[in-house]
Amino acid sequence: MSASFTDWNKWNILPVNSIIVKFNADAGKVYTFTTLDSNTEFGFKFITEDNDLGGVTPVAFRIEGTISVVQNNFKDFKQFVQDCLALPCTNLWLLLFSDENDGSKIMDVNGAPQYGQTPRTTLTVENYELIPEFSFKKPTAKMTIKVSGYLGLEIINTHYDLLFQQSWS
Amino acid sequence: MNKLYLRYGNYSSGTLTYEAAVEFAPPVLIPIKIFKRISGVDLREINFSHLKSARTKSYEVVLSANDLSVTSKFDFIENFYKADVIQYNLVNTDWDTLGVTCSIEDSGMLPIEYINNHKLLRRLKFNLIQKYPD
Repeated sequence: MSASFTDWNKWNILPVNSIIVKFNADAGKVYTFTTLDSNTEFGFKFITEDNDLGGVTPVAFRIEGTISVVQNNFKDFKQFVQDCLALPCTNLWLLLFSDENDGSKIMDVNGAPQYGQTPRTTLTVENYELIPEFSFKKPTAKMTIKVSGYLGLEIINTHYDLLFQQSWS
Repeated sequence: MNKLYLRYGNYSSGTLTYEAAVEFAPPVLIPIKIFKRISGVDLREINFSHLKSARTKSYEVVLSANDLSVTSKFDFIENFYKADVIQYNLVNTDWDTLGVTCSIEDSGMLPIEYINNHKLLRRLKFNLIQKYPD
């Protein structure tokens, strides 16, 4: 028992608790996904520029991910799909399990950035592309959303803890 | 990380007024040394090569998305390109003695590229050529 506890390869935890997307900086266009399947994953990487020392310098930030939502009531998502087609997705937050039980960190999607959220409003570049797909098979229907997006590099200087500390703590 | 300060000025009624300098962090800042000579062979068949001018304070510069995704900095560069007088400095002090007045080698179109086709991830490569010889 203790062997499997110390062997992280045997852990079976989805680190992402929930995901919130927000369209067009409009307070009403906010969607929260909590019933996430284990296919859900997110990756962060730098966009780099060749520098004059033979290496590379980071100049921007890219997020790629797959949100896999277990959902049987797709009627609720009609508006979401319409918004995916018609509106730019301007904000995305990842709430991680390390943050879940802290009542002081309940997300206020229209307030100031908090721990566990990727920040917004202060960034020059923040936009995401969402492509929803649907599958209906056993054991349940799923909606899978491919996410890709860009963030300005100032996220590192001004919101490092909001993005990274929560992602890896 | 490189640091480069740029400023520009325009003439109004004969008076040159500079705007406040802006700091950039160019990934590429490579010195360019330019020497011009008159060379030939004189009447006694002796080779000569007279130095006409030396410019040792020019730079190849690449500004990238880390700076230019900020709209105010991009607007500054647009104004920099069309200003009457442009200068760079490696520190933001003593512009009268350390600032170098430059010209830009210009093809007529702002040489801007878009990283990953993202219109806000802008990249600009240009040469700052020292206007007056050393």
